Amino acid sequence: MDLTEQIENEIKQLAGFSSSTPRRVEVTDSDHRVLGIGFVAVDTMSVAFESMTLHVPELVGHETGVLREWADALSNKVTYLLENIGPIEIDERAKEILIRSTPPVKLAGATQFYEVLLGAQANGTFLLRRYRSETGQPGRQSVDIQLTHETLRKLVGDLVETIPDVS
Amino acid sequence: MSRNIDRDLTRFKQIVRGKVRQNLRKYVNHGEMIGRKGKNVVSIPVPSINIPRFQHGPKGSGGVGQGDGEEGQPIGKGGQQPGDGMGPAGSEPGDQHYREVEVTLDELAEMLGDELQLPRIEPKGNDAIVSKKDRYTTISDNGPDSLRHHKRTFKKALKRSIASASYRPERPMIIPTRPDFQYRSWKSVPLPQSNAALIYIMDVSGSMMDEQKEIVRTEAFWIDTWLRNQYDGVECRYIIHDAAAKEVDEDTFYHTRESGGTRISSAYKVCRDLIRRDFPPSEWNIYCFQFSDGDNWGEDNKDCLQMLIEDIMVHCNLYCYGQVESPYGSGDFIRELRNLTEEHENLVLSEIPGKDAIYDSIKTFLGKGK
Repeated sequence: MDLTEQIENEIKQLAGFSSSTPRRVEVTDSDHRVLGIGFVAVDTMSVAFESMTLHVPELVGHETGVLREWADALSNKVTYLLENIGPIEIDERAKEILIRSTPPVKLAGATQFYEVLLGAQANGTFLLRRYRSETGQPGRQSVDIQLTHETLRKLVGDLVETIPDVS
Repeated sequence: MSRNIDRDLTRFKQIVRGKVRQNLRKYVNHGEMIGRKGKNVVSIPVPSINIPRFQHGPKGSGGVGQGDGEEGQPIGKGGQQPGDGMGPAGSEPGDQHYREVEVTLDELAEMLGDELQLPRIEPKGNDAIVSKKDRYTTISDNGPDSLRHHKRTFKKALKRSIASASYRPERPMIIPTRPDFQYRSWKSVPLPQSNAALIYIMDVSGSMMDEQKEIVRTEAFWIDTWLRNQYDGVECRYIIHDAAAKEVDEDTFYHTRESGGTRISSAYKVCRDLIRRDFPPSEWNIYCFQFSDGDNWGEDNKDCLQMLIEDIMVHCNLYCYGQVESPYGSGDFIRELRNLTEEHENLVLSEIPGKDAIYDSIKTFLGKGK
């Protein structure tokens, strides 16, 4: 079973779950890619989660050029969230790419945006979160991402589909 | 003797200064004058200064003191007269007219100091660096004609004339000859100087947009203006960083946009090496001004704080950190620095959410008088 099908099964099992402490669900496919989602609420139509990670073993140790390829493909493909996303910062030394909403959404007295961190280090390759930053105050707080089941399936599918081929 | 024009000029300058002072907050926050900066003066667009001037009438319409009028009769036709105009004047104010006036940077610094009530800076340590300045305080037998001292030349010629008994009081005529000529001459005097090194550090990572850089540019201009007014010799150095840092020239500092991540410790390393290499702290008053959106990556904060405390702040009169707000909000780095402010009183922090906060930020930075 691929990651999309596995996560769909997990969601079915979690229907009705709601907690302030995220419940982390991890699924693994045949290529040893590990998808992890910290759910805070699941109902029959939608889910809310605080973070999503995807560990892609074949990308560990690669240069930022490979990550850049993934970042561009992902930014072009994922256009159905609240804001479009695009690469903002590239750290060659740490082999990391920061992707954020471009532009972030402006609310009354606050800003919200998606943040994706792509890294080629051993401890992770994809991390998605959403943040809220109050105007005039330093720091930002993580906020839950809310998606319908269909959108989550599509996001996971696109995420896997855009992984660069490094074989 | 002062001439009328001098008095008028002084009064005009007072009016201009008053206008600039009145609108200083606007000029500070919006950096209107920075693009007009010359070497020592700045052109400022000042609104609504009406300069009276004479206008010539049509030819053959008579001149002053000519014509049929009686003494004391008002000039021109009294009351409202019908004219050829397009109608009555509008009731709304027209477009504001601006006049460019030049103000010296020193005057501007004085205004800033008065307006923000900035204390005079007390340089630390001794005035260790000595420079030589030429002062025309002595007299020499040789020199160019342009420096000839006529009074002394004449006195010397008179003395010679009396001594040689050729002077006749009933027909006093003195003709200076070559040996009588006296010239102004200079003497080099050592003058102690208070020197300041200004080190500007800016985050140019992908999250710092043009608007944030404009804020940095405006604030740096005013800081520069004030500190140059306070010290004899000011050396400015510029460091930019994303994940890596480098020293650059002023133009590059303000116009570079990189897309790298943010590692503030890289800039601190360059700053530390710069101080060690070029600015011995015993001889220099060192000021650091760092601007970032505070979105530092990874575990870099720990390295930053250690280097800042041990290698940089101990040598600085002031270490100022301004956190500008990017479209993604303001980062966490300022929170880390807040923990240090109690123990390090030369660390000054300022949050700059937008252009309108520049004025208060400058006051925060320079209000300590260090």
